[in-house]
Amino acid sequence: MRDDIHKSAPVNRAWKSFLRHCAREADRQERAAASARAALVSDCARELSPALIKDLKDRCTSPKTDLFRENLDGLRAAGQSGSVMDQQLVERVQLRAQKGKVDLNVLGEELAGVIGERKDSQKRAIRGHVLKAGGKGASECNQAVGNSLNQISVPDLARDILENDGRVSRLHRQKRGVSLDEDLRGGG
Amino acid sequence: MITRVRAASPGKSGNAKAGELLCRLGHDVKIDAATLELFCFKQLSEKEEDLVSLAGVVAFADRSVRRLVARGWRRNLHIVMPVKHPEFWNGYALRTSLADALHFLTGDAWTFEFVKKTARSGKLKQAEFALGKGKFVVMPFSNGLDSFSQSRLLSKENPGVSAIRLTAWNRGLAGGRDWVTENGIRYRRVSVPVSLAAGSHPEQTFRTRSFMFSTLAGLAAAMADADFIVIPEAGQGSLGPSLVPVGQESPHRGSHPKFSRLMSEFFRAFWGKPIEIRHPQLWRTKGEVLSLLRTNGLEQGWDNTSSCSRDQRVTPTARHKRLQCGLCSGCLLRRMSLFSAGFTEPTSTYYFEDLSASILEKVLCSDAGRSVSDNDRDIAVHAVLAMEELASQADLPSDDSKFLRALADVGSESGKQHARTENPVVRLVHAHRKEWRAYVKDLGAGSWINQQIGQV
Repeated sequence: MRDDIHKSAPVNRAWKSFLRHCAREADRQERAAASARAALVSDCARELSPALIKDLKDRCTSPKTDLFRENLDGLRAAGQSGSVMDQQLVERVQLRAQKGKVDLNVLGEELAGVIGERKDSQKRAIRGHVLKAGGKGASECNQAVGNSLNQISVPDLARDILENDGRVSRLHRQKRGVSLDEDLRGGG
Repeated sequence: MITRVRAASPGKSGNAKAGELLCRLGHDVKIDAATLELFCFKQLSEKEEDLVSLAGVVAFADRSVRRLVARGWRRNLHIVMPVKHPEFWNGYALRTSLADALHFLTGDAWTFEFVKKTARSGKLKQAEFALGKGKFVVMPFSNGLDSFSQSRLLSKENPGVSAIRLTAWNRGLAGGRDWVTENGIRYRRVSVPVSLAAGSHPEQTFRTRSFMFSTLAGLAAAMADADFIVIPEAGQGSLGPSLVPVGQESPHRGSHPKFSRLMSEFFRAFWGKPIEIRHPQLWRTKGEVLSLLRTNGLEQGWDNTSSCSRDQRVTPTARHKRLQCGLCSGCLLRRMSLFSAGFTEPTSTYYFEDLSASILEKVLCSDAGRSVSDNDRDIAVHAVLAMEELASQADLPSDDSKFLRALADVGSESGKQHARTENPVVRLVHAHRKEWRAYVKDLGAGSWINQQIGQV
C-alpha cells in the first residue's frame, strides 16, 4: 500500500488526516483514535446547524405539548435547507414524534443515531478506498480504521453537542488535560 | 451559497445575471421532437411540453453544478424557468411537491421561479401514435433481469393489460423506434427525448436521472390513461442503497418507494388526477423474483437480458461479441441472484469470467483485449463492498431504528400491513445475506472476492 494513499481518498481533509494515521503503523495506536474523533466532530460542525439544534431543544423543553406535530412546516423547511445530517435529524425526530413525546433524552438518542450513521458511512468510504489501493498493510489499515472509530463514544459526543447548543466548534478546542503537578524540569 | 440556473428559451440568447449559470434550451438541453412525438397518444399540451423541458433543465443543473467534498453534499439550486403558464407552475402545491420530490431524491435544496415564456414552442406532430383500445400500464424497461421478470409476471397476472415500455436506449432490444418485440409480442415503446450538454467534467452523481425517468413515465401514463406505473426493481435495488450510504452522501434513493410517492403527489398537482406508482417486487430479493418466475414457468428468454452498466468499449475480446463486465454492482447482483434461483449461465457471458480465481488478473476471460485497469479494480471492490455491507445490516437487531425508519419511509398500505407482523425490511436484508453468503461460499475461500471480504 502506498504511503500517500490518503491524498486521493474521496473524503474531506479531516478524514484524510485520519486515514493517514491509520495507514502509518507508528500512528495507529494513539493518533488514529484522536484524529477519528476530530474528523467526526468536523463533520458535525459543518453539517449540524446550531439553529436547528436550538430549535429542537426548545421544542423538547417547551411546556406546550405536541410541538413536533404543530408547525411542521418550519421544521420541514429547516430539514430541507439543511445539510445531510440536519435532514436526517429532522426525519428521525419527526418519526419519533409520531410515536410519542420527544424529550431531550429522545433528541440525544436521535442525534447519536445520526452521528453513528455518519461514522459508519465514512468508514465505508475509507475502507473502499483502502481496498482499492490494496497491497501490503491494507488489511491492517482497515483494521485500524474500524478500531479507531469504535473507540468514539457517539452518545457522549451527542450529549456534548446538545449541551453546547449545537456549537460544535467548541468541541474542537478541547485541550489535553495538563496536570498541575507536572514536573517541568524533566527528569524524575 | 445558492447557485442560480437560468433557462433560456430556444432561439433566445438569454440574459444570465452575474453568478448565474445559463441553460440554453435547444443547445444545452435538447428535446428530440421525433422521440417526444412517440408520447403523443393524445394532444400534448403546452404545460406538458414545459414539463419535459423542466426535466431537462433540472438534469442540466444537477450535472453542471459540482459537489465539492470540502463543502459537504448538499447544494442550494435555484432554477429560473420560462414557461407558458407561470401562474399554473407557481401554484403552491405544484412547486412544493416538485421541490419535495427532488430534495428527497438528491439531498439538495431546490427552489423554482417560473417566469413567462415569450418564445414560441416548436410544433409537434400530434396524436400520431394512437394506442388503440385496452388497458395500459407504463413500465420503465432497462432490459435487465428485474424489468424482464416483472414484464412476464405482469402479463400473467393481468392478461388484458398492455405495458408501454419506457426505455433509455435500444441496446439488446428487438424492435423499432416505437415498438419492442419480445417473444413475438409487440409492446408500445417510448424513449427519453432529452439530451444534455453539461460540459466536459459533469457532476458524476447525477441523482436526477430518476426524476427524468419518473417524469416521462408520468407523461406516458397521463397520455395513455394508464392504470398505473410499475417500477420493476427488486428489494435490493429499491431499498438497499439507501440503507448503506457511503461517505458524506445523501442516501441513494433512485428507485425508492417514497420517491415514487412524492412523484405521485407531483403528478396529482400537475395533472389534477392521481397516477399511482407501484413496486410489486419491493419485498423480494432479485433471486426470489427469479425463483417466482421459474415457479410460474415464465423464465424463457431471461438469458437475453443484460444487467451491466458499463460501456461495450471496456470489454474488447477476440470474439468481438458484446459481453457484460461481470464485476460491477449490477453484474455481481445478477450473478448472485441467478445462482440463488438455480439458473445456470455460461461464464462466457462475462468479460471477467471466473470469480473463483484468486487474483483479478485471472478472473479475466482468456481472449480479453486488455489487462485489468485501476478502474476495474475500483468498480469491483465497491461492488463487493456494497453487497457485503448490505448483508452485514442483517447483524443489526430487528428493532433497530434503521429498519423502522425504512419501513416508515415506504409508507404504503403494504408497509403498514407488514408492520403488524414482521418488518419486511429486516426479512429482505436477511434474505440478501443468505443469498450472498451462499454465493461467496460457492466461489471458494481463496477467491478474490472472499479475500476482499476478509479484509473488512
